[in-house]
Amino acid sequence: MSATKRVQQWSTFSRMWYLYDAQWQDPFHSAKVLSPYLTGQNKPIYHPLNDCGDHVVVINSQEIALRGDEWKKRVYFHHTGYPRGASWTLAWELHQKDPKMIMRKAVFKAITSNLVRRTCIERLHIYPGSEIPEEIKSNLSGQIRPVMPVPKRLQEYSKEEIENYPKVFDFPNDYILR
Amino acid sequence: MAALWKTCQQCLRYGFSNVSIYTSITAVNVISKRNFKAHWVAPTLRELKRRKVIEDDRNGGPKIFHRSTFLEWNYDAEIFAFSNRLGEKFNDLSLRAALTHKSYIERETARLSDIGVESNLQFQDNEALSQKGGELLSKFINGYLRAVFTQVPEELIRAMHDFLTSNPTLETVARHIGLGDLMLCADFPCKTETYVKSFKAIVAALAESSGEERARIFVQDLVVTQLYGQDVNELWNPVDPVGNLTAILKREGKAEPEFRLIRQAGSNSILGVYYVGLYSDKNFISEGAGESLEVAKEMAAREALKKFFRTEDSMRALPFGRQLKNIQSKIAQLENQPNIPLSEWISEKVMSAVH
Repeated sequence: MSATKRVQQWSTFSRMWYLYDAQWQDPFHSAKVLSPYLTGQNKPIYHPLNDCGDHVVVINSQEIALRGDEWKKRVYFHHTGYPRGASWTLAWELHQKDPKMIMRKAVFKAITSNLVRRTCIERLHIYPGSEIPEEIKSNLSGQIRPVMPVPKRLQEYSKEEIENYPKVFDFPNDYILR
Repeated sequence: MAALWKTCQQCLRYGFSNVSIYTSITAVNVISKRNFKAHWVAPTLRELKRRKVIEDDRNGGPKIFHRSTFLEWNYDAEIFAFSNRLGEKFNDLSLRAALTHKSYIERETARLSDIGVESNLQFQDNEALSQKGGELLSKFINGYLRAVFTQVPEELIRAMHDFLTSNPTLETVARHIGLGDLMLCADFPCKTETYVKSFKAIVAALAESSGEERARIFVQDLVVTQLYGQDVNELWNPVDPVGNLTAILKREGKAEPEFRLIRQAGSNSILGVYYVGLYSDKNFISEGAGESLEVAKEMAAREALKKFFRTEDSMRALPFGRQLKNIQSKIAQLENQPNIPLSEWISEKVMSAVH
């Protein structure tokens, strides 16, 4: 193989490292977006046996947002295998115990159930906050757009932006609000 | 058997009538039957095959016979067919001389003298023709390469020429035009050198018979086409691409090459990949990829040189046949005019592409 072809082969089959910010994102919708990257279905060289999946680093998994009353109603079932080993854990309880679990389980389910699923989930790195270890950070090569746009909180607007914001009406200075 | 007889009957029926075979698609009732051969037939055939394989292995391969040992061998007809097959006109004497080897003449004279017959055969061997043919071959190949690869340094031209005139390449060509059956040589199966000698002699014979122009086209159509699909950069690339690139840019009066990391992935992992871009005075020239920064840098330099020499992967396909109609004179002109060597290469000096 000539040098050019060798290098072309290497770069074609290299793995990308994507960053995904799960701040205020729905983990189940996010999982649907992340699973093609983990399996490699975003690539033209994809084949189920090709093992061409990329790495995805999820940050702020502590800050995920479940819809409606799912925090109270969604339940995670686990059985130890032993008699009387069944347990039902509510989403908020599970999130308290391990803030990475909900995200991980969501992505695991989103990946099609087959023998490569365990390998793919190994390439998902979840962090509860925004701190990433240096070894992982140096690998990153791309970013995946969040599923839902993150709204800007009022506290995040600067004073100049608030003053210059176009207004239709404002109270006079001496007006007292009740 | 019954199925065969049935289809034959139908063919006869259709043959005698004026109806075409293809009009109706009636379902022909083809019944596949088991072949009831005697119980000893299959084992016998298997044993015979096994013994044949062992015997062949002992003899170093299955026995092959020259075509002339089979029936209906007419050497004169074969010679006639050969020239017609190629679409060329050969002088009979030149062609026969080109196909006759010294070893054959020696063997025949020795054989005749053993019998006691004085040989007054006027055989001419292909030594001189093959020598001349080799020179013509080199000349025509160089002419074509220099006319098509105008931007390329002389070292690469030489490498491509060496590839095209190498024994394996010429043997392939010689085999495929049927010289194996036509050559008169003492060795059988014929050696590579014999094939190559015959082919070169054929080129010289053609030049003698139909002129150099025809011989040039013959070489282009049969030998140079072996370059088609071959990555020319595999044949030659400079040892120090970064050094050579810097020298070229300096000669052209451009700024020094600057290497910048464009993108990277997985630098901490074993599957890390780096993309390095090459810039000269903030102008992008090329980019290269690699598993380490050093490899990526070298590949970027190599890509830049490929871009200068117009030998990228996306380069134009080689022209043949009708596409060369207008530039044959230019090819003849460049046969004795080497390209610029790498040490003096500069883009102002090279000609614009001929085709």
